[in-house]
Amino acid sequence: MSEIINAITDFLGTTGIAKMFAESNWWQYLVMYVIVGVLFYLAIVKKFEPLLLMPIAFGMLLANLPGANLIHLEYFFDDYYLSVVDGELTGTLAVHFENFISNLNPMLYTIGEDSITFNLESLAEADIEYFNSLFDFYLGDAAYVSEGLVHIRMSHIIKEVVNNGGLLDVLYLGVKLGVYPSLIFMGVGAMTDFTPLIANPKSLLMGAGAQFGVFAAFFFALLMGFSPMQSGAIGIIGGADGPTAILITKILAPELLGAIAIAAYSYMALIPIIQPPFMRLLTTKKEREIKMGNLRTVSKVEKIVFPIVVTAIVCLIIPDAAPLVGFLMLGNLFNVSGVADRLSKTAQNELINIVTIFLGVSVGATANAENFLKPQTIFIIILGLCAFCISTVGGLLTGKIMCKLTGGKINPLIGSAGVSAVPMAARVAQDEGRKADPSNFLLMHAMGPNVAGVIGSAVAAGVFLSFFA
Amino acid sequence: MFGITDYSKVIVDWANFDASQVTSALVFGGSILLIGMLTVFAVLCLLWLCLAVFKLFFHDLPGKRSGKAPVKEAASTPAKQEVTRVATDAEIVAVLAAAVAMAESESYGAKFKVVSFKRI
Repeated sequence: MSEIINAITDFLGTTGIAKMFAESNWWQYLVMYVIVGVLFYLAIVKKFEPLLLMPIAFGMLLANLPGANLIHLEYFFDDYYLSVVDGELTGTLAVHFENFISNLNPMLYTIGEDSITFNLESLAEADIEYFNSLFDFYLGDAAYVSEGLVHIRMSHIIKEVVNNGGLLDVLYLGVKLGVYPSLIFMGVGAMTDFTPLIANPKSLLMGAGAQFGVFAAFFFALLMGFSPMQSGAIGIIGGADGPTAILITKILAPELLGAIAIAAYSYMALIPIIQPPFMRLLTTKKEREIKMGNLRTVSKVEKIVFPIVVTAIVCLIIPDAAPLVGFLMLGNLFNVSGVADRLSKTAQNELINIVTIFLGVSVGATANAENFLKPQTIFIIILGLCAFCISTVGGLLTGKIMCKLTGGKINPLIGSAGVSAVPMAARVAQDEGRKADPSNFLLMHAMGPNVAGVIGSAVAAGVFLSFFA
Repeated sequence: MFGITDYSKVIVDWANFDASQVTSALVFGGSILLIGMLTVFAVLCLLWLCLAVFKLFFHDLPGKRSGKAPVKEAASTPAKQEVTRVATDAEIVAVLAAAVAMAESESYGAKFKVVSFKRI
């Protein structure tokens, strides 16, 4: 009888519930479940960006199941591999590293409270060679020293994932390597019609004006104590472009990925609620009633040359924007060329759908309680909202200036559509225009700044990468 | 950038307030804001310029394809019909798009849905 009771007790001890309550921070799991519930509610009941919020919420659920160990973030973040906590080395490489430094002159390294720095400047060339050979012997291809700091090699991360990783680890590699955002951009490009932009290239200015929130949020984040890299990742939320936000964050501040992805997609879904008050506040009824003339027709040649020229110009000026702009325009070229229907359909259907599932689940899985429930998550959410609002204001003000300059031919409402979020922002402009005058149709005109915003946010992302990556 | 190689100098630590840190962050953040916005505007203005040139080279102007001067033939009845047709198509697209937007919009409590589009 006692054996049966022991067996049952052992079994109960292995359950996730027992593991959860065995931890001191068990309440954090419960908070995460509430957040997951809210995201499911927004996605399924309110239909806010369900294609992404639902996989993200499910990924969060999977990441917060005690004992499931579906994702091993320690494979991906340098700090988990080798970090210094209160002067002690921790992480999977700690033993190898301790063996390495035990062979060094203690004058050559300093172990601080949370970092280790090497002082190699005073060494002769032969000594540096010896240092490097010793480093290679103990750490192999796992890590390298650059500018006095230890970095983990990508090849080691991949080896670790292939040997010991699970499904979510493999899926997260697509985020870590920056594969998913580019593939999603290819699908978006195949689905996007740039005709309104080509017909009315002035729209580009509104797409540029609406990036003001990106850099303003960067500025505020910096003042709030975030590092420049983290501030850049937070600022890009204002670009209202999920894949761009994910790409920039995984490069500049991977530790913030979960919070930034959730903030970006949640605010994109909330555009019909966030934008209209600013639109009504900053425009007069007379301005909202402005009817815009018909767009000119755009020839097929123009449509084909457009993606090639945009790629060449943008990527030659800001090469760091190439993974986004290049793939966006490749997808568009598939579509407009008329000779690659199969590729175009694949990019805008099967491929983007598959990648969206992978991206959503793996990004959600990074939001475990330990990473997510921090005061900085609240700051990110507040700064993200500020970024969206300022971007909307920037687009509207640019629209108002253009309205004045063109003698009232441009309805300033379409400026708010410069915040990417295709096509929701354009629909909001259409709705507000129609509320002012039911016979006003702004949708096609608003699509110009809307797709210009996609290019603009990719350029803004490239600016951050060129400064900080 | 700006001679800064150690970005920790522009990280504001509010727990240990230091006015020089805030000043550095203000200058650095303001500079990035300015340079970033100027870059975005410059790149998109360049694209605007290119698209304006597009219109001159690639836009299908009446009579351009045949390489003939736009004489009487270009202004003949078929061409006029083409112009009218294009304008009508644009209007139709606008109306259809608005209908779809209204049908999808929940804010108006629309009680109809778009069943089909027919050219009449």
